[in-house]
Amino acid sequence: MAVIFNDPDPFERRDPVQGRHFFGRRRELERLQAGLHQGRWGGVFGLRKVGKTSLVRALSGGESRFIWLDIQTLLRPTPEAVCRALLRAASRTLSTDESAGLPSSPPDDHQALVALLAAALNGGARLVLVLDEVDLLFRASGLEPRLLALFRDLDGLARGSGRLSLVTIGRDPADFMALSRRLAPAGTRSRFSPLWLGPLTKSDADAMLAELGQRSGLNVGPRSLALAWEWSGGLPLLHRQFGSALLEVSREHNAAPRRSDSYAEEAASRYLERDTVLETAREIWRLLDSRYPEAATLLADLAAGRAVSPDASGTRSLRRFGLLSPGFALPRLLSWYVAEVAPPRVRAGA
Amino acid sequence: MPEDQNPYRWDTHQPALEVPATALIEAAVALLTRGGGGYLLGGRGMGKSVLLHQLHQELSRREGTRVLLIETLPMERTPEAVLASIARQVGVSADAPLEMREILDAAQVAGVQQLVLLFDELDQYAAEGELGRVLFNNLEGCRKSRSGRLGIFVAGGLGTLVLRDLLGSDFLSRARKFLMAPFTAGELRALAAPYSQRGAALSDEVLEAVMLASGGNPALVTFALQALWEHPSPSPRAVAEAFLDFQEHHGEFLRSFQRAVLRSGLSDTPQRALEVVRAHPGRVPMHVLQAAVADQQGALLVDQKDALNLLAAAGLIRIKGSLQSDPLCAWPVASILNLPGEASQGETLRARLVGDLQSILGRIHALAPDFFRPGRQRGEKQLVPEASFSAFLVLGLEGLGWQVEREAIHGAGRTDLKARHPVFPGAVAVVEVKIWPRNDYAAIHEQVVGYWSAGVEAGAAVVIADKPPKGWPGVYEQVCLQGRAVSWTRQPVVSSLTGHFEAIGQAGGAERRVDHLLFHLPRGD
Repeated sequence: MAVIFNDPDPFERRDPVQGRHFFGRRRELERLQAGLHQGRWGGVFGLRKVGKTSLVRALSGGESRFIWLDIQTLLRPTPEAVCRALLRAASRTLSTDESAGLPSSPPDDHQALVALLAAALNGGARLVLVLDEVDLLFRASGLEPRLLALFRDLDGLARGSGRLSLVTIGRDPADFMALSRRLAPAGTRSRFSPLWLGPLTKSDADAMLAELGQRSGLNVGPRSLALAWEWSGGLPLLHRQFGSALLEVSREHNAAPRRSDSYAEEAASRYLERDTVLETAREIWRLLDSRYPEAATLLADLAAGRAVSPDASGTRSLRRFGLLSPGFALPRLLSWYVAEVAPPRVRAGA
Repeated sequence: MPEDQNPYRWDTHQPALEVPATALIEAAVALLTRGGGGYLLGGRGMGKSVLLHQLHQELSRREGTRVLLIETLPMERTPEAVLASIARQVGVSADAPLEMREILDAAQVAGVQQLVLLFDELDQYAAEGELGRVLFNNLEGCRKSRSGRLGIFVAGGLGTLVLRDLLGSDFLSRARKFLMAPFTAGELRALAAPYSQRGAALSDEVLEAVMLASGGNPALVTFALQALWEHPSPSPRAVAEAFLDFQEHHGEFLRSFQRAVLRSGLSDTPQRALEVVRAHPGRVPMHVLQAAVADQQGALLVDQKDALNLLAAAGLIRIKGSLQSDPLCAWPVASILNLPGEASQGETLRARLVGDLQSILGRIHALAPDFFRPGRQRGEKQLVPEASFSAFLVLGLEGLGWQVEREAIHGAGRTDLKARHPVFPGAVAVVEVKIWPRNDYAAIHEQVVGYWSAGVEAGAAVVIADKPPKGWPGVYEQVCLQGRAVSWTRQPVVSSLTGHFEAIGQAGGAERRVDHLLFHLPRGD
């Protein structure tokens, strides 16, 4: 018998998830974990709502102490604000013992932060600094010299101790790559290793729907799993939304036990009516159109069924965002949105 | 409140009488108490501010929850000023400006377990560009990282899409969408309960006329009920008169309504989509809709789904079933907000009258479902009374630049409409409206001729049928115009006009040319 938890719709999640709501990503976790052990700087990049923050949250819980700062929580990410917020986050995370021996009145937050981290590292702690929404640091006019100085100091601590790692989360790693190259001593390689986060694997995507279905008393069958994959391409939030559409339709049918395959097609059409689904497709299209126009052109061509070359420009961006399968297939949702819904002026120009 | 004091106030956000949007409030409360984010899309007068007040009231009952309703931007238009205002209201003070996460932490120390921020007038923030983006992204960052401790809800119109698409709001990317909807007939009836309580319930005809003129827009509905409260004997014509006053004295409301949705300068897609729905009421082909928005103008690119949602949330269209349907099942909503806007350019009073009547009848054709009420038999529908049509024609003509005489629309035994046009000073037009075959429809020609007093230069008879007999023009000619000199005039410009006769009568020894417009209004649903 299915265990039904007190959650009206376990599929419906828009914010970063953790614990039993997090699924799959074993390879990505292993790769990040290995990087952290080697004291490398890692970064998770990709589309909004693809699960970047959830992935890094899933890393925490081991022996490392995680110090989080979401740059977005700073109204103006000035060097002072970043240092102050990091100092605050570090103070909250580290115990009084780990802060022992700090100078009583450091000249500024930057110095205080470096001193605090150094003290904790000297005490044997293994630290991970997480900077979420890191693109915002570069938004205005590149990186401020004082922020560069902060990263230089953090890099020094990392190299000296081997126990300080940095994980950045953002949309595009280019700016941070450039920064890490500036930090690398002459003749050495950058210690920064970005990870592009794309869709779930098919088996993880299936397992997620099956498990969430079980939690809500829904038997998600093979036809439903196949359709969910076809429409979402395995992008986690979109994939969950398919499950949510299945649940919605199953409740209307009020059948027990609820076997999803008998109304999977109906759920597929309901899927396209969901605000979250439409908003996500719209957002992806706008991002590509405004910042990756070659990828947008390629997407429009594929959506229209036009022949494209495997070497077409834009392929790399689509692949990095996990929107293009090795077989050159798009999530059907995106094809539908671009072909039938997207503002036509953009399509015409594509 | 004294027993007979007017309980209605259309221009306040905290009215004494409310129709709570229970389902919407429950869903929003559930979302916000989980620390979620939401946005409410609606047009002017659709009740967004009232709903925010209701939400504020509902959430404030919860222990440990602090709810702030931020109704407008502070004088100093910076994100820092908004945060400072929030800090002050939460009772947090500091020497230096605080970040939102610091405010949250300080509030928690003071016993506030959860903070809910309700923002009205989101379009103001969107108009400020960076301010809106920076502020709401910052709040969103705090909401996500302080799981469950911060709930955010905003209300706005087209500015919501500006913030989301042009400025790139992370907040709106994850926020759940809520759409305002016009009052239903049942909600209007509930709001009109004070009339029953004072022993003078509004009749069905009056309520229908209110619905037809207001489209269920809560502000307009409340305005009508407020105006009728003082009226000795509310009637559909009194409703028309109230809305004539509204058009005359509250033009700014109508203009700002248009600016917010249809004439913002940001995007012409909502206007284009509305034109398509008006042209294909009930069965809107998606390819036509797509083609209509294909060469959209404006800084903001709006896809047709957004455009349809905006129009629905402004109370301009009603959508039945799925947005994916093709054809889409959508109609424009009968309302003074949906009247035709382009006046005829006829060179004589008569030509202008006929042209404008055809234009209004064409619009009524698009609005058809709103002009039917449940019949006596189950599932049956019948046309609303003549007085309701007449009231709508009054509003339509006034909207096209005519000045309709107030006295005429009140007088028993007088013509339905007596109107002047500023382009033809001193000249008068009279119009009579009948439903086929109701009351004294057969005598309509004589009635119009009978109203022909000094200054009258044009007369029209508008005859409406939902189920006209076969060969209606011929039957009509036989029944209503027998013995008259009758001629068919030019082909009607509105396809729903089954016929357009010119019939000549005599009055005061002179010939009177009366235009007869036969209008077939199918149920359309």
